[in-house]
Amino acid sequence: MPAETLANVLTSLSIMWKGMLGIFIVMAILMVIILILTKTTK
Amino acid sequence: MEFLYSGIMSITWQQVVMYLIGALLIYLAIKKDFEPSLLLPMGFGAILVNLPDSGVLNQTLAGVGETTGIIQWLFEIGIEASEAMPLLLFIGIGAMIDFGPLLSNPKMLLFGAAAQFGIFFALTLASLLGFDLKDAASIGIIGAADGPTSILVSQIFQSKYIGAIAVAAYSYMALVPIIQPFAIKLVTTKKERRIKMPYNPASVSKKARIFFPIIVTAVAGLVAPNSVALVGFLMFGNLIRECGVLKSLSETAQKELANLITLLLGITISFSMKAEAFVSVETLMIMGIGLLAFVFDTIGGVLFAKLLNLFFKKKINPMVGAAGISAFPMSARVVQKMGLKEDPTNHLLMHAVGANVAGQIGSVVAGGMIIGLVSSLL
Repeated sequence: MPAETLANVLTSLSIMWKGMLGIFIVMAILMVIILILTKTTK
Repeated sequence: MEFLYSGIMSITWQQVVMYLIGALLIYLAIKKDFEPSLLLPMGFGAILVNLPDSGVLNQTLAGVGETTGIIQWLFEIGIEASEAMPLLLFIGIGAMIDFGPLLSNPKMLLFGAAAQFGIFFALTLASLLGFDLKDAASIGIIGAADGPTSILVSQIFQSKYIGAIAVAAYSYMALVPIIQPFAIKLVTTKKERRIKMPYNPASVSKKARIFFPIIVTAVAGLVAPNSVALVGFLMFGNLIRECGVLKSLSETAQKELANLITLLLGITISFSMKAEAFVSVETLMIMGIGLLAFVFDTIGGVLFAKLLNLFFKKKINPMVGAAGISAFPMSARVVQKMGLKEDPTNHLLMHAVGANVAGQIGSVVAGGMIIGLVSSLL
């Protein structure tokens, strides 16, 4: 595998875990806020 | 008399291939009802832009000089300059979505996250196959299962594969009823597909519905600033819908705005379907990677549900995880249909709708994440 391709694959894997973690964090924050919001605005 | 046949004599074989692809997209749109609002204009546009010396593209005429072609102008103004068309379409989409099922069961937001896995899987696969990082990210975003997001991200990265990416995204969205059942059955057992989920929604106040789009924009925008355009316009449309005092604007956004932009977007995107860019091995690779992106989105959502089932007493039907992709409402309907097939008394629709609309949010957040992460590494 060419060195540039290998570098890109490793970078992609780094983007994968950071990206998935970031999305989960955003959605988890939204989940908590919405749980509080729906309980306090009945 | 040469001017009469010079056009026909200058047709290349690649342009003939594009005429056939254009005809195929039109056939799929009309006969098979595959996302006709996008595939038909794209198919027709593919024919228009590939006619020799086509007047829809900028030309240099002898004795006249530079002339502007309408499709090229629409592309430069509506997509290249500021990604205006997909963003304006998002206002309409936001106005169409009822986030009630999600607000009454906010846990579904996590499935909207899990089902974005296919984006990153496709990005990695594209890198492995030799695409550079910007193109790999543009290809990966097919897994967002969202046309405007795919077009916007690939335009920001100035990918030369935007045409193939748009065709792949819209084609596979239409094929969700075929792709998802296959992927779900790969990773679930019959017993898991029969898990019953009664629907007991919490009530959702009007205040909550109004605060929701504002909060989502603020949170997503602060954590992933590159997603502000996508999330912001989606939530702006939703706020117009939910505020209750802009009924005519909401109706305009849902109908006239969405229809007008959709009408222009398809034919505008065809600018990127010129033969010299589209007829290549890379296009076939992109179609293959795009398909795998959808498969792994589904698998990601399902496996996340199975992971949660290890910890919770109240089991989740793993198929609901598959509905976390952004293909709304098809994915929710697919899950409902599969659930009823396994057990005619098990109605999963409202759970699946909650996950499905969460996927809409997840996909635009993913788009922002990809833009931010990739540009920071370039």
